[in-house]
Amino acid sequence: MRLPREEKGLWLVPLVAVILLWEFSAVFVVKDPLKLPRFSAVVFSIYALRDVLIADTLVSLLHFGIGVGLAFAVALPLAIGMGWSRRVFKAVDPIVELLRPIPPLAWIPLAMIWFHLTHYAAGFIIFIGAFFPILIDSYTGFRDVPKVLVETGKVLGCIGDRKQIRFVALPYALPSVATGTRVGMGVGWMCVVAAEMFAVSDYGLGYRLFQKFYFLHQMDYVVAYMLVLGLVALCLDRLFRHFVEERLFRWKKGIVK
Amino acid sequence: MNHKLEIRGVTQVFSSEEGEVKALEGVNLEVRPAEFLCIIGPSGCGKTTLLRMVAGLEQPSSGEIILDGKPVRGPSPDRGMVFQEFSLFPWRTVLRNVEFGLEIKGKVEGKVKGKGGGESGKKERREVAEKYIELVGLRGFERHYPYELSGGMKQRVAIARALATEPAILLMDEPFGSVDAQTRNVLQEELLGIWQRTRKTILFVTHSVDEAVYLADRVAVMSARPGCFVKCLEVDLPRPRKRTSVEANEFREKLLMWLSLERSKAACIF
Repeated sequence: MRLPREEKGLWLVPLVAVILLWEFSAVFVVKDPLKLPRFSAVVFSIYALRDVLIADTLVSLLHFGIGVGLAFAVALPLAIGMGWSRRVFKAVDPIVELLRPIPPLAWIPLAMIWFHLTHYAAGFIIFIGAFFPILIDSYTGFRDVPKVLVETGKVLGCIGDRKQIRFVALPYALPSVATGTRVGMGVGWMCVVAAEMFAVSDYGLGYRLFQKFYFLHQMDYVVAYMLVLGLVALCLDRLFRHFVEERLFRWKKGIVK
Repeated sequence: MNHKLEIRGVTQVFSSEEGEVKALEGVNLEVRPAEFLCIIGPSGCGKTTLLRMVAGLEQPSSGEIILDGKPVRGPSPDRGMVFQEFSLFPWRTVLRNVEFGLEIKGKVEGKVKGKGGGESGKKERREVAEKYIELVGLRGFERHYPYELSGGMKQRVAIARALATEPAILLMDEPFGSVDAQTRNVLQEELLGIWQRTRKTILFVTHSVDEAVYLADRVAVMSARPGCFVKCLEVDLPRPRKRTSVEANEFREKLLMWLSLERSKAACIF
């Protein structure tokens, strides 16, 4: 989206206001760095922690990659089945809807037993978080393929499910798959802290935040890591939007924007 | 006489929860090569169902449909179809929409010959597609996406796409039903031009008397449900036709009479 000139940088105004408000209330109102560390202290912490922070971010991204990658690889074929075939949908939907409301956190004990204290245990929790949004949005995309497009495909020689899925349903559903993946990535990232809380490795943003900083009540460090969690997610989302959605949504521009 | 398309004793029965509904009963029709035949009838008479059966999208309960001496078993690119609804693939540009049938054909043939279409296939495809885009008057719009086109332009692309695989017959299901009246007139004229240039056999379903009289060599009038042809009228008006000529009006009146006769029969049933 291209903003008019005077709207560029508009986002800076509330951001600066919030930072000033934060700094001001930390110094003059709360006056307790344990309850509310100052913004300037937090920024300094990020700088002071830079070495360990990069290692932690990379390990967290590893967990995230395992979880989201696996979620996508499992959810997409299942979504094609559920969206394309009523029978598959009817057969599988009850199981999906039974498992979907179980919070990813509730899977932690099983993850520990199945995968022990490994990266895979953390990846599994993130997998659970990312899986369902990807699945639901994707199968909705495949289910909503207009009949007239499928029939047009048939008349032009697309005979058989495989061809119809490849040439008609998949391109039609791709934007929904992208939306689901984006939402799934968001939920998956939210699961990172929980997934790493149990010392699956000696690195990781969630592990450090919970096991080290909170344990020592170093709240400026805790808040610094919270900000990093937010920033990394923001970058991931922007990258995804830039490289994937911009491309996929080009033909939808008339509808969306 | 050699028929392009023969419909022999076609009956279609839909079973629904309230029981069986006979949509078509004992439909017979012969279409001559290079003929422009319009099917007209009261709404709900099964015109669309019949066309869909010729396309192979539905199977008749009994009877058969024969194209060039071969019975129709399922959909195939040798019968091009233009739907009433806008049916362009929204993720493909105009050019890629028109190429679609050729691309699928290339994939099928490529598999048989053991090659994947290749660069030369791609170039040929492009040339054919450009030829048909030119034919429907959309040169310069090759890279546009469907959302950037007006309703009339979308249907033109759909016509080009249906013609690109060089089908033996072109089936059109009220293709201009969802465009405004003026665009409709322009599209009708252009379709006649395309028909005269390509010498395609066209089977055209419409509910508009004006459209049928302007376009068709023959008009087949369908009865109310269960549908069958009650009358086939030869439109012996010289081309190019004038919409407002006295002869066209007389023909229109004749057609309207047949239609109102069918409507009154339908009224008796309900």
